[in-house]
Amino acid sequence: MSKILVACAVGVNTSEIIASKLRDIFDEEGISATIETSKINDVSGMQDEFDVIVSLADIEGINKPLVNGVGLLTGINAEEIVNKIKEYL
Amino acid sequence: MSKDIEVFLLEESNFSTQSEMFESVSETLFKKGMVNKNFYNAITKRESMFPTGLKGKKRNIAIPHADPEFVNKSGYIVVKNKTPLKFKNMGNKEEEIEVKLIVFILSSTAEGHMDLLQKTLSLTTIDAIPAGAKLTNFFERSNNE
Repeated sequence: MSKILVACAVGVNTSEIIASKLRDIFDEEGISATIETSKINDVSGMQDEFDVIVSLADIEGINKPLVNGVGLLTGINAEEIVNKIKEYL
Repeated sequence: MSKDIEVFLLEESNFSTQSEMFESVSETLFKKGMVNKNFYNAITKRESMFPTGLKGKKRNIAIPHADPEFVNKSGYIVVKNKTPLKFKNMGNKEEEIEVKLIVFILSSTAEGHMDLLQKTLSLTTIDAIPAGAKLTNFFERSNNE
């Protein structure tokens, strides 16, 4: 199953909001994926087991596809962002 | 639940820079005992590492926050500034956006201010921002839903 890592500064609030939005969208569309959350600072050490990283800020030292997820908070270009994530699953 | 949350409004404020606003808000909160004396440094450092300006559909907002260790009591401080203040865009640190509505999200625990955050995010999409008691009520209500 595809795995998505959602990262924000502390790894709880904003990342959880985005993760739950993605879970809702994927549920509705029948896409199965595991979605986890983490701190931005922990991503580089965890990235290997994930297919795509959704982050609220730039992260250095990432070799996995990285998608900026801020639009999922505000709803701006949200659909585009979701489509981009799906490309990597 | 709502009694655990303090809401302070600073409406019609006239700050000219982000740092002036951070300093003033930090001092007010410290005097009220809601944060400790390191809050200003914490919030400034956090904002420079992880900016919180958000481009919204209806309006831009900023949601500065600090780690729970600097916060004694959970709540919101809502600043409605008369003129726009510059914030870096959360999604793109290179970009500055103009923000008149700033919501400080104070959380004294490491978890569980998702509801506070979600309510705050809705301010980017609603038509009009309530004022005064209605604005306080807007925030207090979120914790009972």
